[in-house]
Amino acid sequence: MIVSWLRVFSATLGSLYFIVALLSIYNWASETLSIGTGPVISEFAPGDLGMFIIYLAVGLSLLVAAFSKPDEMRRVAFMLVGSLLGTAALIVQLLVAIAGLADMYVLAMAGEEAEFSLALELVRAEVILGIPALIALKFAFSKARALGVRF
Amino acid sequence: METKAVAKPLMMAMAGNPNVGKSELFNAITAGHAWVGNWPGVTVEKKMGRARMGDLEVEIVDLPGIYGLTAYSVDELVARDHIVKEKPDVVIDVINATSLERNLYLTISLLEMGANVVVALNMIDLAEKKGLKIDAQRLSSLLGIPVVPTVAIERRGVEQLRRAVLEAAENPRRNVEIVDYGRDMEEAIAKLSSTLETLGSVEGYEPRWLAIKLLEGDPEVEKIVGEGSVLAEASEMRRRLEDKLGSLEDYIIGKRYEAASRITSLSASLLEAAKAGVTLTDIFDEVLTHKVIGIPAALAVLYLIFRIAFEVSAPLVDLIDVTVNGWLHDATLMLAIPTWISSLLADGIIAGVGAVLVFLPTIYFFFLGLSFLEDVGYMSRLAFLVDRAMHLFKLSGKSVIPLIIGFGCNVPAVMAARAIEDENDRKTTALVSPLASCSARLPVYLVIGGALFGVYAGAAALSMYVIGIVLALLMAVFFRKVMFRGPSSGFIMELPPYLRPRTRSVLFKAWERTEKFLRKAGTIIFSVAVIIWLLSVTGPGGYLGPEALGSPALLEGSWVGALGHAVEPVFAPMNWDWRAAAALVFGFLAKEVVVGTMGVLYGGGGGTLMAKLASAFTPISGFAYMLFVLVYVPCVATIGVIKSELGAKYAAIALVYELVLAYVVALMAMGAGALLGV
Repeated sequence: MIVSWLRVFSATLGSLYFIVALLSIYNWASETLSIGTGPVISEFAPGDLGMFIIYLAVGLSLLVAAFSKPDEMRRVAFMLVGSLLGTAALIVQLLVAIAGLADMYVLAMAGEEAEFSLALELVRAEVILGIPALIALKFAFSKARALGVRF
Repeated sequence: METKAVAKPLMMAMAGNPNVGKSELFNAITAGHAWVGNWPGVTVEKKMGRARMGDLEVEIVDLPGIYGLTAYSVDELVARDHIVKEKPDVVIDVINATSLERNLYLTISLLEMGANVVVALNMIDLAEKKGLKIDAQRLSSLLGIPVVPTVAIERRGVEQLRRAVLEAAENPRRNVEIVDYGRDMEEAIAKLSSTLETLGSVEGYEPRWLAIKLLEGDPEVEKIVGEGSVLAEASEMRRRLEDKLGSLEDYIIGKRYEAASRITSLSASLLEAAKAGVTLTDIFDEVLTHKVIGIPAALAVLYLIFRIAFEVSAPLVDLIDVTVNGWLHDATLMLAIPTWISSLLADGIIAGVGAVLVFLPTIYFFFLGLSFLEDVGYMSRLAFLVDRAMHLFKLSGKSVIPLIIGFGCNVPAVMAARAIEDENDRKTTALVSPLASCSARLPVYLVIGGALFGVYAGAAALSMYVIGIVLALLMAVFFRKVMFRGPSSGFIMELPPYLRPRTRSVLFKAWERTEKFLRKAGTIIFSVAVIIWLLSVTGPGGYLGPEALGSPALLEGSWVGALGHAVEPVFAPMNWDWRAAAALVFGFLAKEVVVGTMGVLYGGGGGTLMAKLASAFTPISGFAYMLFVLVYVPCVATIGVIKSELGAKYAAIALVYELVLAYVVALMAMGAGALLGV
């Protein structure tokens, strides 16, 4: 069985991703369609439809891993894919941050000023939640191995 | 043999199922000495290469990836025709060792045709990892032909394969009677074969293969045989046999699979440890092909690819922009050469080609992502996921492959539709696949999006991809209801195991695709940039000089101005000026040219192109322009391919419907903008 603390971990992380997904779609609607009272912590949960889908996919997968029927293999499968997607989003965001930094230097070389804040790139949800997702990925792989999954 | 080799190079063909590593093996053997042409009569890409094997010059043809040799798909027909008519000295059949039984079906079909086959048992490393032990020698003796284990991606076994091919060319081994079809059927085959041996029209063909095909009722083979009395005899035999055995086509396929299964069980064994248990592929597929979670997961994967393509490539894009459009452009203008030459170089060639070249990193990163997904094995899952949805739009699940390929380039997308067996599905898919937004349109979205939508430029560009697919699906429903009525065909697709992507393969595939874009920039866009410059510095009133590029008043009096003004009224409802209209006209040659033309027409007189576009368009007229570029006539090359694949009538239909649709969609965007007060 997926040990209960791992299920709790998966449920917590999944819920956080799901909440960020809701915030992200709200921020998108707020910025694009002027709905509501304005964006909420948009540095953390950017109003971006694409990111909304990523947060949603990770959140749903981890929640299914925590709450689906007592089928261990199924739980491991959802945890593995959910955490893998979360980790991929983390890696891509880190690449984007590095690219932003490099871009600033390229533009500076050409005498152009560019606004860029590394801190803002690193406080996004995919980075903050990506670290526990990476840990979840490690656990999911270990669990899959323990269940006899052939790699 | 040596006399033959001196007289002409050894002819080889490479056959195999899709995704068996055929291209890697082809590249390993030819060491990059390859070129691309077309098969006679159809626009199916024909890849050829040359290699030296010992003292011999060898010419290799890479046949399309196929599962069998029926006459149902253009690919299979092309491969079959090549083997039957060109009679290559050796056919290398590349087999995926992890799916031995299924791959052997094609081997058996090749042997029945009388081909001199050498099997490359590829991906043997993966088979071993899966616990599958294949005795290559035993397999060789069962098939009666040489079998060489290979790992093409690591170049393992390639030398042994070369030696086996030379040996096979010297001592051909054929095994046409690989399948025993049972007494009744064998009697009929023998009788028909002996009749066919006396016919002059089928000289050079393998009589047993022709006899089997006639009994199957293969229309192409019936055409080859031609002789009415033989056809009548075959038809009578078929009728009698079907009374006893049921559908002969199904019976023959069944017998071939029986043979493949027997050979597999005698030559391969699954290690005990591998028989039970779940694989990582099973685990991933549980989620990634899940009908609910699979969809957001797929969209998430695609969006990550987009982020890499658009955002991670940004410093490289700016580096090229600063170097080419900034430093090189300015330095050229300062050269001590006649003004018209420096203007032609800087404002014509560098501005035109440079405006497109800056998107090279974005396009490379995009192809890198697509190649990665292909090599991992995710693309087929994507097709599987959308199959049900595709049926709602009266399309086959296979139609999604051309649409995805269309994101790269519409030419191979239209060509990819030929793998769809159902005629109506194939025609519909070929007609709507140009609506998938190809990489050539991307620079237009980025330049206009960047100018008008700021941080939302990426979202605006992404919306074009979504709208393109939505329009393609809606047009598919329209075509299926109006022109190609009937049910859509079923969908059979292999879901290969997930594989760890090989860096070299992913980088190579991405580069191969990007190179085509680069070649276009160096040829078509270069030529068009020169033509546009010439048309900009001359006009009905004579030579205007390079000053015209810096003076809107002078430029209006040029030939480009005249052309732009001639078509401008058509686009008046969208508020596009004559320069934007002229760019659309030139964009018919290739969509990349739209940005190149804008670079020349809006470029002169100081200030960046984006700043000038920001003042020439409003957000809504810019968005409508992006929509028009997405939908309006595909480039000349795509129209040419549609003509070759479907005929001139359908090429004309594609041309007209896309123009009308583009206009309507752009008008609707303007209307929506007016309603929303944007």
